[in-house]
Amino acid sequence: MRVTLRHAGQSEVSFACEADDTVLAAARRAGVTLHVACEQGGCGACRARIVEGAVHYPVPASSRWLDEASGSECYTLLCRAVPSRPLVVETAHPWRQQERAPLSRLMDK
Amino acid sequence: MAVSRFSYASMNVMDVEAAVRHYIHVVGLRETDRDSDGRVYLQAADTQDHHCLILNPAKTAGVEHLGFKVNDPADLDEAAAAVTAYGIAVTRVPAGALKGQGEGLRFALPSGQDMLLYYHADKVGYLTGMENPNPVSAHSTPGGRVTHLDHTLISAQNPQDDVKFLTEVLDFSLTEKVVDPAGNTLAAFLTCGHTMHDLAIGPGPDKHFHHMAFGMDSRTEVIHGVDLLKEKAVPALEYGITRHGIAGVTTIYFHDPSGNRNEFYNGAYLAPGAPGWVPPIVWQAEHFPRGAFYYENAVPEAFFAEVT
Repeated sequence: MRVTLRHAGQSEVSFACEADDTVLAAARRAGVTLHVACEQGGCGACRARIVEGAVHYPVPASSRWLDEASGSECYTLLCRAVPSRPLVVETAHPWRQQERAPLSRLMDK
Repeated sequence: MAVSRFSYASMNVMDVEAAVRHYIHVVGLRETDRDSDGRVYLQAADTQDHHCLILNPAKTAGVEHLGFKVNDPADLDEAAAAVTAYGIAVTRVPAGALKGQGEGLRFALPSGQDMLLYYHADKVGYLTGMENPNPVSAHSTPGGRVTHLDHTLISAQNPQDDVKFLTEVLDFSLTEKVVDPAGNTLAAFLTCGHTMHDLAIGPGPDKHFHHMAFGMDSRTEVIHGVDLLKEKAVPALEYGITRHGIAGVTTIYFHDPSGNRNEFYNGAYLAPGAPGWVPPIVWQAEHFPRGAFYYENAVPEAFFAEVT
C-alpha cells in the first residue's frame, strides 16, 4: 500500500506500507522520522488529516483525535493507523528525512 | 485542612488488559482488585493501601480523577465547605462507589481535572508482608522495582489559577515555580506531604494529563528500569536516563499502551512542614531547559506539547 505524506513547506514523500504495518512503522523503514511522543495512540503528536484513502486501527487509538463529535477535526493517528487503501495524508507536524551516514549505507542490504 | 498525600491516579485507557500487563510487567505494580464496571486496581510494593492506580475502560486516554488522602474523616466536611466557598461545586462520593476506599469528596480543579479527597483506604499490606517481613524490598515482581506512586503533573492553560486554589484552599505548599519575564507562573510544583512535590502543574491544555511518577529506592534501580524499558521496547522519551535540574532527580519517561506518560524516578529532596514553611525556588523561563533536563539543557518539543 502506498502512503504519501504532505506538510506545508515540505516536498511530499511517498513510501510503501506492508499489510498490517502502521504508517509509523512504514515511515521508519523508509527513513522518514515522524513527529511522535507516546507512539501508543494517546497523545496526538503524530496526528494527520486524510486527504485520500482510508485507515483502520487493529489496536485502539484515542477517540479524542479520531471522533469528529469530540470536537477535534477528525484526524488519523499515524502511530496506530494501518492503511486500508492507498493513503495521502497531511501531517500536523513536519517530518525529518534520516541522514544517510556512511555506516548506515554499509549496513543496508 | 489536612490533605496528607497523593494516593492514586484513576486513568482512562483504551485497552484495560494491555494496560494491566504494562503496569505489572513494566512498571512493577501488583493487581489488587477488579470491579463490575471493568476497573482494575493496582498497588506498588511498599504501600499498604488498596490501590495507587485505577484503570478505567474508556475511548480516550488521560486522567479520570486524582485521589488524595486527608488526615481525619472530619477534614472532608471542612474541605467541602472551603471548596464550595471558593466557588467550586463539590460532589459527595459514597463509600463503596470505588473499591477499597471510603466516602469521598469530588470536585474539579480550576484547570478542569477532577480531584477526589477521601480518608479511609482498605489495606492490602506491603508486598513483603506484614508479619516478620524481609527488610529489603521485594525483587520478585516482574517489572521495575518501584516502591510507590510519588507524584503527578497535569497541564493547565493558567497554572497560577490552580496554584492559588491549591495553596489558599487546600493548604498545599509551593516548593518550586517557573516564571516568564512578566512574572506569570508557567509551571508549579506543590506538596501536601513531605517531599518536594505531590502535584505539579505544567503549561498545556486544561483537563489533560502529563505524567505520573513512580518512586524507586536508588539511581541504580532507575538504571535497571531503563534496561527493562529497552529490553521490552517500551516507547520512551529520547532523553533518559537523565537528571531534572528541578530537584535533581534521576529520571526516565515512557508511555503506557494508551499513551499516558509514566516516569521512573529517584532522589527528590524532602520539603516537610506547615503550609508556606518552605519558600519556593524560582526558575526564570530562560533557564527552564536546564531545570527540566539538566544534562541536555533542552526540552524536547513534544514533551510539554503532547499530553493525554
